[in-house]
Amino acid sequence: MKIHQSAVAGTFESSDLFVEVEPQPQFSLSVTSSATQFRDAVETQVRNILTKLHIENGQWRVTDSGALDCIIAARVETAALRGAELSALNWEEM
Amino acid sequence: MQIQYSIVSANSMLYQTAIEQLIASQGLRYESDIEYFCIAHNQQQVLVGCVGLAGHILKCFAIENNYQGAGISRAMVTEIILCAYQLHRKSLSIFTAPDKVSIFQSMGFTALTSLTRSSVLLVNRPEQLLALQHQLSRHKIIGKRIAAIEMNANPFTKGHAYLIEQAAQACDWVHVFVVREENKPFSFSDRLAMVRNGCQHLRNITVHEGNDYMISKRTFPSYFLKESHLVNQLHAEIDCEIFVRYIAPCLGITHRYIGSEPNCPITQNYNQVMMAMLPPQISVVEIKRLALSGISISASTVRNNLLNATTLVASLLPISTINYLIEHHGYALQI
Repeated sequence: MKIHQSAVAGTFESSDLFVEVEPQPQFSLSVTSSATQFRDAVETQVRNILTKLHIENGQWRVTDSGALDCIIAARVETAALRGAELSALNWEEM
Repeated sequence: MQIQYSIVSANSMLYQTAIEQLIASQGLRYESDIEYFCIAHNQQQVLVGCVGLAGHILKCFAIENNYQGAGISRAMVTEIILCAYQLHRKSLSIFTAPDKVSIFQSMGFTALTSLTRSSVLLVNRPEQLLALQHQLSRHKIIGKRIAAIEMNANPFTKGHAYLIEQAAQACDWVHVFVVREENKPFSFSDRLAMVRNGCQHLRNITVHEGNDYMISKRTFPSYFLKESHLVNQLHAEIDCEIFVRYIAPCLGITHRYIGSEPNCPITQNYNQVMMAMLPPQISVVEIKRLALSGISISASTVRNNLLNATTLVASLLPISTINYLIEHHGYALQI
C-alpha cells in the first residue's frame, strides 16, 4: 500500500489515538503518548500494523491518549486507507 | 454528560454574544481576527466551551468552570485542528498559560519558549523550526562581529540603506531579514527585491527571506494587530526568546542592529525588549534614524505620500527603490 495523499484518523479524546500521515518517499514515524510508560508499546503496535499493510512510505505522526490495542489498529488502518485512497482492506492479508 | 460540538464562523451573530461572555468569564479577551470557533453546548443548549482559529493560531480557549476536566478541551481541539487541516493549515501554534501547557503537549504540541512567562508558545510541527535552523546554518559566516537586522522595508528607504551600511562598516558580516508577512502596499516579493537591489554595492551582507519564527504572525501576532500593551510586551519577549535560542546560534550572531523609533509605540517597545533580553549573548546597537533636512526618514511617510508628494518621496528613497517603483508599480516619482 502506498501513501499518496495526506490523511488523518482518530481524535485527541481520552482512550483514543490521533494518526496523521503525509505523503513522502521515505518512511518516518513519531509517536507521543500521554501515558509515557506505554509510548514504546504503542510504537511497536503501530509499526506492526504498518508492516502488515506493506506500508513503506509517508511521514507518520501518532498522538496517543491511552488507546487500547484494538483502537490503535482501527485508527492506523483507517488513516492508511485514506492516505492510499482505498476503500477496503485486503482482509486475507491481515 | 452529553456535549455537542460544532464549528461556526466567528461572525455568526447567533453565537457571538455567548462566546464573548464565556471568553470574558475566563479572564481572556475576545480577539477580532478569529475566523472560526469550535463551540461546545450542553444538553440545555448552553455554551460551555470554545476555541478559536485565526490564521495558523489557536486562541481564545475557554471552558466554563463547572465543565473543566471533563474532556471537553480534547474534543474541541480535535475539531478545530481538523477544521484547520481542511483549510490546508497543517502547521499550527497556540499561546497559552503555563498551567495549560501539559494539556496541549499531550495533544501533539511542543513548547518553544520558557514556562516562566505568563504566555507560552507551542507548535505542532517543531521539525519546521529544525529545518529552518539547518537552512540558516548553511549561511553561517565565521567572524568577530556578525550582525542581524530585521526590517519590513515597506518600501526600502534611505533610512534602511543607512542602517545596513552602518552595520556593514562596523561588522564582518551582516544578515538582513525581510519580514515575510504580506503587507500593504508592497508584497513580500516586492520588498525583498527592493532590499536586494539596494544592497548590491555591499560585499559583506546576506539578504534572507523572513520566516515564520521572526516577527511573524506566528511568534508576534500583536505586531500586526492593535493589541493591549501587556499582550504586545509578552509577544515581543517571545519573539526575542526565539531569536536568542533558535535563530542567532545558527548564524553566530553577535550584534543586533536596530533603528531608533520616534513614532510607532509597538516598535519602540520591541526595541526596549530587545535591549533587555538579547544581552549578554548579543549586543544591541541602536542607530539614530537618518534625517534629511531635519525630518527623520520613515517608510510610513513614504507610504502616505506616494501618490501626491512625489518629489518629497523620491528624496527619501535610494535610486534602486525609485527605479523599482517606477518599473514595477508605475509610480510617477521625480528625482
